[in-house]
Amino acid sequence: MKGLIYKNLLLSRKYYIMAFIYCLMFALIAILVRISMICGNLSHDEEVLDSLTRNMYILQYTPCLPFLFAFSADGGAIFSDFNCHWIRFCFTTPINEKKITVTKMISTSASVTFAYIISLIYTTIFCLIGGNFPAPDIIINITGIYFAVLGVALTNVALCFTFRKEQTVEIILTATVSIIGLVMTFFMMLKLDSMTTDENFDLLDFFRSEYGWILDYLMPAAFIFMLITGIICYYVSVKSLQRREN
Amino acid sequence: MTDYKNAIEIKDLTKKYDGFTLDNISFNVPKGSIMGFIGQNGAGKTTTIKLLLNLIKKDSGSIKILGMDNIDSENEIKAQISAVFDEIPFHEVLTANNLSVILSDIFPEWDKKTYMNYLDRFSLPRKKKIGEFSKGMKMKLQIAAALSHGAKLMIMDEATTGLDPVVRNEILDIFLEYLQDENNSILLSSHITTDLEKIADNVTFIDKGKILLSGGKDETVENHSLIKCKKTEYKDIDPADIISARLTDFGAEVMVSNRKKMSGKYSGLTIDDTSLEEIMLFYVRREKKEWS
Repeated sequence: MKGLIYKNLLLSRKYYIMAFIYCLMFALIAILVRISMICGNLSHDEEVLDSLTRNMYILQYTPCLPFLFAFSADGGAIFSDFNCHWIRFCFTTPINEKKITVTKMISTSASVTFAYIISLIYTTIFCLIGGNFPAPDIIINITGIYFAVLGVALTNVALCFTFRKEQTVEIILTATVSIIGLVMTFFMMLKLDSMTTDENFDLLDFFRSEYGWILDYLMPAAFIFMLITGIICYYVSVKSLQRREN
Repeated sequence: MTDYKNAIEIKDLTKKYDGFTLDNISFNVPKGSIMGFIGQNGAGKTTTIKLLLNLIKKDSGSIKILGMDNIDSENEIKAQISAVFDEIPFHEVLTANNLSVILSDIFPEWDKKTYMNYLDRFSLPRKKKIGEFSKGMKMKLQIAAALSHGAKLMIMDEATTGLDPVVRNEILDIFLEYLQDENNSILLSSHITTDLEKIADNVTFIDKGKILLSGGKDETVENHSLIKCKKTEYKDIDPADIISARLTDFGAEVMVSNRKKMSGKYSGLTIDDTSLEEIMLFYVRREKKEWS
């Protein structure tokens, strides 16, 4: 099994490098801005400092983005397997459907874990330098996202195996999720816009008071989601591969 | 290990698709031989091979590989066979070295030393990405991998198609070397009949999902002959003897079987030797017994 996992990791490595460069780049920007805020030109203007501290809150969400690379890595590796007839080759060897599925799930978990580690490193650097972000909250947040993304990534494995010829299904799903996300962001912005008249408004406090319950339940809910989708993914993928005539 | 006479035994195999039926085919590949599997594109060669490998499900019939049922003992069989297709199944970003690590995990009998020897013999770079290989190099890599895990049977689907004659000859030599071990067998599907004439012991000819001929290559070629005659002489040939005939402005070429009998019966006509390619061509056109 280790040879197959090795192959999957080799196929995904370009996505890992992209995720790493991406985080390095954003961390570098944050470091430079923070250095300037502490001892550079920005440290002289209190108004600008205050504004920057607020605006940099948004950077706390950037650790979520390496997960996108992990997600692309797994989908890309499976499509690559089909495109170069690797799956057909596997069926001419002693490998069975269960082994193919399990190795894909392990590889998917590995790449999402890799994204999680990058996110944690990025967050830690950010918190250490910035000093104004509540690190435990963010880490809990990222861990919840880790389980949620892992669940989605495992579903992606099943989707890739099941709907190989019907990729439109995946496109429709992605488009639907994106539209829901956009609509939610739009309404959140409208709400924020109506509340930011108060000079003492704190974005993080607002999120805690309004959406704190999400943080409380995010991790266990995401874990359960990951567990259920993982099990479903396994059975759906194995059954789909057993049909073979796909 | 199961004792067996035939590396492959196919009996009454049927698979129906919309617009195509592999119709009740039967043939054997004797152990220690190369079976050439001939037929034009769409004749049913790849479907038969997919059924052998259980890549698609059969409708009826039985398949035994190395003396075992191809479905009941699937994993045991697949550890002892190699399948080579015309398209390389390895990812372009991998190298030949990467492949050794991966395949050693897949095949229990993987022999890294043999694999590396084949890479050297074929002058294949170990660290170059497979995507940068030429078509011939890719095929050699696939064959190197196929020969490096002690396979008792190689199943090849159009493996030499699209390769230049030099590479094809090199590969055919490797096959002959592989057959030095009398436990090894090859099923070689191809429409390049010249390759099969060089190395095949037996041939099976499939057309429109039906087996037309199956037997020793030499007997098949010797048993068929080509009568070349004038148009006026053509009318004297008994239609029952004609498999197929090609009529031109200059005369006629008539494919007949049972050469000995025909030599006696049509002693006044020129009876020539024929080749697998001509046999295939005339059989494909057999429904139009005369064509211009």
